Amino acid sequence: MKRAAQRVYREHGIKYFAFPVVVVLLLASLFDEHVGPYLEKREEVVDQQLTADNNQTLLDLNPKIAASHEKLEAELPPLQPKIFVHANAQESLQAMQAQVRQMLQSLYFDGVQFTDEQETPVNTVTRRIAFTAHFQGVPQQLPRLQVALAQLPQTIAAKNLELKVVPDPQRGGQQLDITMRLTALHMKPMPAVLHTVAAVSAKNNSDLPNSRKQQ
Amino acid sequence: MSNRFLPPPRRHQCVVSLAPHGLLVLHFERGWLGWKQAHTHQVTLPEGDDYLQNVQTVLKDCCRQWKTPAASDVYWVLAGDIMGVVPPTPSADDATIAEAGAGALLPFASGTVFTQVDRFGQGAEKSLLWIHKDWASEITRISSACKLRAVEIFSRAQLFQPLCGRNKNQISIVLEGDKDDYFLHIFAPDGAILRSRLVDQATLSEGLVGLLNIELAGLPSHEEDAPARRFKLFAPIAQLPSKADWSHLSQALPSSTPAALLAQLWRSSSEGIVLESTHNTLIQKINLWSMVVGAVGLAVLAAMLWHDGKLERQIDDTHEDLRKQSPKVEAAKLLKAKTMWMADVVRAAQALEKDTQALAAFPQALAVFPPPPAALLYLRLDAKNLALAGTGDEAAVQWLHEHPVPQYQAFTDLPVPDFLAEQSITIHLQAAKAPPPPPEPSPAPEPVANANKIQPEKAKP
Repeated sequence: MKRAAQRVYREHGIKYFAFPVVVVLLLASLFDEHVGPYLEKREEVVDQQLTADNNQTLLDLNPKIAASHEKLEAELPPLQPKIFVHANAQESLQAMQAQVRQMLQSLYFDGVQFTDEQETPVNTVTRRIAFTAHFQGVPQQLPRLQVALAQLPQTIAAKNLELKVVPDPQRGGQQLDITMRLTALHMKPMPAVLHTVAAVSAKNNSDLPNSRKQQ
Repeated sequence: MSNRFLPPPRRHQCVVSLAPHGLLVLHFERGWLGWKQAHTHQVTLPEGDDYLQNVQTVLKDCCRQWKTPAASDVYWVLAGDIMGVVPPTPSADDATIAEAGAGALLPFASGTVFTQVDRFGQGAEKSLLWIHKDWASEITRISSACKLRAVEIFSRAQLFQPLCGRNKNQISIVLEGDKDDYFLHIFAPDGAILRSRLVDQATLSEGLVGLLNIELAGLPSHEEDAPARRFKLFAPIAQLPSKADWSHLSQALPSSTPAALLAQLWRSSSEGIVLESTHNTLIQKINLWSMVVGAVGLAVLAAMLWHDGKLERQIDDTHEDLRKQSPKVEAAKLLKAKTMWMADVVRAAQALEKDTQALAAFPQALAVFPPPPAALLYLRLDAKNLALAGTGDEAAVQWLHEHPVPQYQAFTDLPVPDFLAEQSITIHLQAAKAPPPPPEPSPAPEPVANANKIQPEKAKP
């Protein structure tokens, strides 16, 4: 092989050895020109197929979604007023503290203090806001506290309650030292674009384009 | 050039080394991993009139036994008695001039011999290999009789060129062979062959040193470097002269077998006298494979372009469909987003409603607490536990054990809270919330008897 290659080179120079290189370079040049757009089209077809499949799945599920929407539209109105609706959780927390402070003061509890403010996400829409309320009172005030809590416009839940009988230095005798962990829900106002949405009738699916079938 | 489009596949080749009293034949076969030495056959041949006939017979037997296909290539390696060497001409400065100038040194008319410049080495001066056309015809005839194709003839001296080409600045002398056939080769410092001849036993027995002196005296000399010439002798250990007789360097010949040397020459790029050109096959292969690669590449490219057009049409169709579908899809997406938003709010609100139950146990805990003189000093309530502590007597504790809080398990002991440690706390109890009652069992299946009773009904058409 080496001997034959040597003789070919001596007689013909690089002509015959360059031939395959030229062929390969020519092919590489042609492929370089066409492969990029071709691969892009392949990817585009895959993307389109994925989009079409997702759309189809969404339209197939639409009747069920519409049914859930109708059911939720009946459930939501009585629940929504019980939630603090503000631009952010901090504003909701301040509103909740104002309500609780006003309620406790109207029930003549003393030494009202709020600590341990906290906000934790429940899901993508709502967040739990919570804080600890610390105040003093007498046993007769407690049933009224329970009633007042239930009558607040927003739902404020008592996660736990701790009562200690301690001396009352101002009036003499004894009083209750009360610690309550209170929690409520915060959510942002519904996005404007969702306000206009009405349930899409399931019959919309019946007139899908025929050419949407798999190619 | 062959008329056939594809050259026949040549997967077998032979190398034949011919000596006055011996013949060595090597058979190479090409497999998936390249060429490999498949067979070797060495035989001693008597001198005489039927010498060439014996060579033909042995070679034919080998081919038959090894099943060598017809028209396989065979390379011959011949000794100095058949294949001659004209040493490099001092005035020549390239291969062509050497070949033209050496014509005067050939013992036959230049039209009756085949010649080939030996291109081994880096030096500008090249030696010339020659063989008489009668010998070349005889070699071709023997090969044809054995259904082989004689393609190239090498000189036996070329076997030792790789060894002697490494000895710079000294002339190498090689004495090789065995008991019947000895050969003497002399090489220039760059490996060019200066002399290659057969040495008979009688000459050798008269003394190697005398023979070497005669041969060296006959070498063409460059006047300017003649006094500085150095020699190095390679010979079998038994033939090496003593230091007293031979004042130059000497060394035992490396112990390579003749078959290994032949294989090395066959695989090398050294060139002999060409009888049949083989490099056109390489050209055909290069052209053929280039065209095959080009054709396959163009076919793939054409298929790709065809598919590209098809994809483009498919993209346009799908795009149009998606555009028509878009209003319904957008409406469905918004509805889904709103539904999920509402579902999240409802779920979270319902979960909070359950947490408002923590205070529900407060009145019940107060209700079950025993009457005075027992007094409640501490109460803790959360979603799972109730704990209380106070003053009282053993009867009060007993009372609480007998009257558990509804929806709570029985009271157990509670460590006295730290802030009450200094008081005499008798009541320090806690209770965990009772688990929700299990769901009511489903109605019992109908008795088997009833099932049997309806079997005949089922069997009715």
